Amino acid sequence: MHVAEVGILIYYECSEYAITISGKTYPYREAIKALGGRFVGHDKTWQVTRSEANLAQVEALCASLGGGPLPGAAPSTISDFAPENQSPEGIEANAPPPVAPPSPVGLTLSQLLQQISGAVNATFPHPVWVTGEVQNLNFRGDTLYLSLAEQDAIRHVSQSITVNAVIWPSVYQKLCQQHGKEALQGVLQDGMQILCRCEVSLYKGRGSISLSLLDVDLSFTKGKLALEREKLLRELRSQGLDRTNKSRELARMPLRIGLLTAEGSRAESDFLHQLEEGGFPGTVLFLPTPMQGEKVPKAVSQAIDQLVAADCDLIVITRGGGSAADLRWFDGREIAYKIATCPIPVVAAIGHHDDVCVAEEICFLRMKTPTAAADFVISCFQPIWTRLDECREQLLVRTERCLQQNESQLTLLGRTLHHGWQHSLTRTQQNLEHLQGELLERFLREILRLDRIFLRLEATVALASLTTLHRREEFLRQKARQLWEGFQLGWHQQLAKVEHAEKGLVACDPSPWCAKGWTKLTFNGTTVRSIEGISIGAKVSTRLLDGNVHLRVEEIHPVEKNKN
Amino acid sequence: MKEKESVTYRHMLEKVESIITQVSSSDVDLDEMVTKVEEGYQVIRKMRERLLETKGKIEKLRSEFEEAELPKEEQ
Repeated sequence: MHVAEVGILIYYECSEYAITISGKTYPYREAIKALGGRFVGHDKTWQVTRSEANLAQVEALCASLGGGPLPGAAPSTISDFAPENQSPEGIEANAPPPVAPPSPVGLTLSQLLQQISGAVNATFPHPVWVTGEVQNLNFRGDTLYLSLAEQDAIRHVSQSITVNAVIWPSVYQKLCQQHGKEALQGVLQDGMQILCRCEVSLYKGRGSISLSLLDVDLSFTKGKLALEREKLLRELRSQGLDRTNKSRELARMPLRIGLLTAEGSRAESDFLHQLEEGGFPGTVLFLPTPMQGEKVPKAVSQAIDQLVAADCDLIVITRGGGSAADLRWFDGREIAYKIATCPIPVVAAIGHHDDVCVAEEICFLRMKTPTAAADFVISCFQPIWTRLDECREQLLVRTERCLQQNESQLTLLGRTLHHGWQHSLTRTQQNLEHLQGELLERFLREILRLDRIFLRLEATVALASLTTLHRREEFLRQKARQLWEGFQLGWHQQLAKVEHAEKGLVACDPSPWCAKGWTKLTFNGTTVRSIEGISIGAKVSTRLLDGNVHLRVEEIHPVEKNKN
Repeated sequence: MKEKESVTYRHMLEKVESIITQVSSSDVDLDEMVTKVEEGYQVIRKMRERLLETKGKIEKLRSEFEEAELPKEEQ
């Protein structure tokens, strides 16, 4: 590794596979990006894939800006760094000589770090195998960045030791070709314990150790997982929990199925389709649950609790695909204990045919595929359907037999009814005829009786009518007599009135008096009864028998009255 | 005219009585008295005629009624 002196604007340092650019690089970031540089945030450095062309460009860039390489010692080839090729003397021989402090007051930081870097390089001139837990795994472009962590067991503190690491694209491609991309990705996951071969270097910008991964021992990780898996299985067996779910009693007709799988996955569609094809008569409570990733244990555990609370008859956990490495979540304690203590049988169709996880070991039944799990559910109903078919057949046979018997009985009853009906009808007709004759006889008898009564009544009525008639006629004759008598009386009374009126008129008639010479004098329409009523020269009137006479008074002579 | 003069028997009687009352009054004129008396005589005459006519009708009805009674009595 080449290291340059500190004090210039930007500088670079080379490792076997990368060129690290550090310093005040921000104003020149575009130029660095143009070289294919990737920014490492935690180091505040840029990483450029090492190649002759890139190295030349980086050198030119740093030189144009007043920078350059950092001074330092680096191995000439990789093979020289292999531990098996190193001897203790060789390690010491390769150690750089100590650098004398340039200033009498002490080392500068750069000088210090340089010495530390030298010491690191001297101690680890070759790549070493390191174990640690993968954390913060992430791709930035084609470069894989991660941290390797370890619990500080020596100092007995909970805080983990973390070292930044990187897998350069060329290394990553090589490892994929060597181990297989799927296998490699199955190991390189957060939380996985890995054994990797690394170049150890000091990142002077932060003063931190940086590891550049060159290789990964997959068998270490798998072996560790297998050991943990076995340990968990032993623990479960010691408590008898490996058989508890297997001993759960499965309902004769599991009509409520709880399904745990990823939403929209092939497993979901395969399982449900197979159930539908098989004519499953029940209901499926589907709880979408992630089947890969660190959330799997908690999600599956919570989902199982929900399905238990929902009173399911059977729980099916299934996934259709995914890497074998994702099976490790189902090797965990949380899911294992949840299944072991679950009161409902759990059917697991999780892994591949040769990968059996802990969950599948201890569950009620393991199936290879979601389709197989659905077939198992369907098979639970087969005995019942078979029995139902048998019962249906028996029912049909018995029903037919019963119908035949009933038909025979009905036929017999029909004949009996017909004969009985005819006999009854004949008897009824005879009775009716008898009754008809009797009725007619009684009717005639009654008619005669009534006839006699009517005749008697008629005579009585006639007699009564004549009597009444005579009485009425006598009454009318009496009234006629009264009328004539009344008329006569009234007529005579009227005649008497007329005669009386006539006498009155006769009495008032002045004609006889006039015929004797008597008359009446009037003066101004007033009857003159005394000489005092008139005066000499007055004009008076009088009427004689045959006309009126108008007179004038010329003399008035009073008549002496009789003193007797 | 005849229809207007056709008054009931009652009206004629009232008229005669009215005439008699008027004629009996001392203030009545002689000429008027004579006229009234003559009128009274005419009304009385009509009344007699009406009485006779009525009597004749009733006697006829009575005879017809009695004739109708005779066949039933014979039965």
